[in-house]
Amino acid sequence: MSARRVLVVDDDPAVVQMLTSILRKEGYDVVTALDALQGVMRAHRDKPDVILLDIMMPAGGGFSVLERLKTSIHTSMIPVIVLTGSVEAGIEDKARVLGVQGFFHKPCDIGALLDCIRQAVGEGPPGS
Amino acid sequence: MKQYTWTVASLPSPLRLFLTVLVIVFLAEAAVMFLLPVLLPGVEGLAGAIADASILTVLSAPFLWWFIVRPLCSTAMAEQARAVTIVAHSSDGIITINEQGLVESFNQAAECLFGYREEEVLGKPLNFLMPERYRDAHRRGLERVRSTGESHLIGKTIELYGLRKDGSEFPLELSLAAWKTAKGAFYTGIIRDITERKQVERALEARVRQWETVVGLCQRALAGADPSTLMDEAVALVAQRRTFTQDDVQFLQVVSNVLLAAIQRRRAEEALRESEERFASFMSHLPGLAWMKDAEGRYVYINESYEKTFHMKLSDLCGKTDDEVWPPAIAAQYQENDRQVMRSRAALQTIETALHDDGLHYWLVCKFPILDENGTPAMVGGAAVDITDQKRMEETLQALYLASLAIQEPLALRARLGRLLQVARDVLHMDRLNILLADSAGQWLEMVASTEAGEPLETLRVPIGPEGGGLAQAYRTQQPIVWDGQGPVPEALRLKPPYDQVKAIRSQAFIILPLVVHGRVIGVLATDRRTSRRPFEPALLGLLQLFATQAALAIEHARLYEQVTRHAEELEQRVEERTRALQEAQAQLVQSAKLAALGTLAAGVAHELNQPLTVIRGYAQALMADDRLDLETKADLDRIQAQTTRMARIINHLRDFSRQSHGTFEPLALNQVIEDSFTLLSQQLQARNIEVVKALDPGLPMIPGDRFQLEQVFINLITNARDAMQPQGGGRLTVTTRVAGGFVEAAVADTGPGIPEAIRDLIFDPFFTTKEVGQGTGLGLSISYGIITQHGGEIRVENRPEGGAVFVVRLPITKHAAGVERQESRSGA
Repeated sequence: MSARRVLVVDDDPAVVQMLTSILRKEGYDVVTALDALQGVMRAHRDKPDVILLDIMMPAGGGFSVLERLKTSIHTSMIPVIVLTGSVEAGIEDKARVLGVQGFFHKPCDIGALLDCIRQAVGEGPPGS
Repeated sequence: MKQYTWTVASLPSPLRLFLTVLVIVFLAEAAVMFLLPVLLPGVEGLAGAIADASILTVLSAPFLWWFIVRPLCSTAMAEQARAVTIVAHSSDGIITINEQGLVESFNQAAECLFGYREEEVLGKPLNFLMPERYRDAHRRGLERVRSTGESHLIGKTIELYGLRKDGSEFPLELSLAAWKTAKGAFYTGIIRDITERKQVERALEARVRQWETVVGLCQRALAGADPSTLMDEAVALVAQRRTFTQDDVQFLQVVSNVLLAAIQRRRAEEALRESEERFASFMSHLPGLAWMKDAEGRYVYINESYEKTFHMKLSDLCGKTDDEVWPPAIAAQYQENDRQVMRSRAALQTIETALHDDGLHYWLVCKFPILDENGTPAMVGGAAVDITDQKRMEETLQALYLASLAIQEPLALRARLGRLLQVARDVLHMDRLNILLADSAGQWLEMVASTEAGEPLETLRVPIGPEGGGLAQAYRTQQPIVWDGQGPVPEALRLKPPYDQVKAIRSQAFIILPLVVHGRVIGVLATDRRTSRRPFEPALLGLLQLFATQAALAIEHARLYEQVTRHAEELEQRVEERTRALQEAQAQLVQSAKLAALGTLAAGVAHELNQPLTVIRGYAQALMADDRLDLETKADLDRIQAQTTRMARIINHLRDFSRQSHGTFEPLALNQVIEDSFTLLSQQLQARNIEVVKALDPGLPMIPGDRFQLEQVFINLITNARDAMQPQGGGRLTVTTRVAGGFVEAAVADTGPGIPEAIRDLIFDPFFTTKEVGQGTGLGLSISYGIITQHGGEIRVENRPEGGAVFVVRLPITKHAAGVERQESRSGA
């Protein structure tokens, strides 16, 4: 079975690099995008198994990415986990309405995040 | 006839004759005595005497002839001739008869009168000259004269009829004279034909009778006899004559003129009488006074009303002036007005005063000049009506009006009502006036004002029921009650014991009026008068009602005014409260705005910090999973991770502060929250030797809230308390909780220096801190303020009297119960 592919969409390269590093160690195939537009393109092109999505981003923002993914037949089935540094009120409700798999405030607990990803791609705990 | 007439002629005076004879005899005798001795010396005795007498006679004879006889003879002859001439030429008939009644003389005029010649009648009896009817009387008269020598006819003039020779009679006037001679007595009658005179006399008499008739007719005409009857009489009078003479025509003309005048006069008189009757009737029924005075101001007429009003009779007043009737001041007033009317010749309307039995009255007077035919004012007429009542009514109304104006002033109404009642009492001539108002429950009528001084008003009240008598009845029925004191007061109107002892309303004659405002009765106006006084005037009730209406309105106004004043005060108070609340709200708003601005900033900062923190934490966690690392390194990584957790908490604080917290409300036990806060800090407090006293009310109800946020608040407060007490070290920190109204109240008190008054308003501001740089962010209290406000509670700080500050947090018990449910359901989704 080929490695599960995770698309990380975040405008902060440091965050993208950190997540890529960790996820690769966990055995995931990681593709990245640094803005919303790239995120959508990557989602269509690379067909990730799960998408980690930041909300406050240039070129559209996380919600526009989320809406496009959910309205496209190619990407609507891909689980999305939101990882945001925003403290804006109501943001979690809004994301959940759009059908996200998980929601984390930065700085998040990496373990919890990984658990959520594993759950989203239909895997058991690591090592299983 | 000539021989007789001589004797009656006038002679030389007998004395003169006598003296003449004596002189002649004396002189002749003297001559004889002188001559005798010469001529016949010695002759004595008889011869001498004869000689002497002869000589004397011879000597005196010529003198006697010359001086005596000759004058006497000539006088007698002249007299006789004169008498004969007079008789002959007299126009009156002169007849002389003798004692036998035979005619002695019959002059020419008599011949003409009787138609007889003198020759035919001389020596004949007089009978044939008189009509048969006089002859007896004539005979008797003659006999009586002959026997007694007296006749009542002598020296008189009588009228009788004579009989002419042709047998006709004629009227004559006879003057009879008697004279006597030696031959006896003679009677001479002087006869005058008075036929013409008689005719004239008769005509005159007829005229006189006519005029008398005319006068009689006039008098009867004037007296009101029927003119046509009078005319008939006049014609009948004339018709008695066989023929109408010129006189008759004239007479009838005069009569008709007179009657015409009489008729006109009578008509005029009737018209005048009718007019006068009308005038008199009019005047006597005139309710007002009417009078007339002449130009000198003397009364000439007054009507009956005048007589009755001033108890004077027209007859008494007539001809008197005002000065004589009225007191000087009043008379002067009348006369001045009269003079003005006379001067101006125009009517004058004015008001005069007059003295009546019961004092001064006012009269509305119209005075006018009555002009004579020359246009000169001859009299002053006057008419007047008594306007005293109107005048008094006016004055009364005026006084009441002023009183009612005064009671329109709402301020101090009750204090003033008493005085106003006194005004009303005086102008209405009542003894007492009282105002009683119903209490709010409608059970009692309470006295609020009275004209009686010294009554303890507050205690005077009567029940609205049978015991309240007329007062209660007037109130209940809303009808005025008038009892004029005739007889005992009816039982229904009588106050029952013990209220009959209320002096101010105990009376025999009274009027009780309900005080009604807008159809609602609020009390009664009670007024009374001692029975000895005059009865109530008809207008009194109306005036009282007027006053009652005004008083009721005024009382109502006063009540409304009080209400309005009270409302205004309440309103003012509420506005004050609201203003204060608003100011507080505004202060809060300002605070909130500051916090909101900071929140926006914090939100941005939090996001930006979260990014690198995420990276740091991510790497640290990832490294810790690396089995190749030694324990020392793993411990370092653990510290890194702990610090990122701390940083994350700071950032979360900032996030909470921005009130974009995702904190959830749940039912909380505040005591537990406080205990949790202490678990984080108790180590530090112990280290600083701070005594902690907890006085927590175990019966606190649960409150809705965010556990972590509230914990944060108390951590802040405890930390602040700790820091406040730090310089001295030690100290005591007291935390108390209790229920206060709908709130749970927690107080955190320290024994530090307290909060300077100057910074009390600043203490909840963001970034305001009294701590040294690096020691505090200045956000703690600000965040606490935001959290508590978000919970619908409040936080305040006070300085304790015993020193130190106390922060008091109040949180509502039930206010956010619905919010709790919502939060729970959402978090469960």
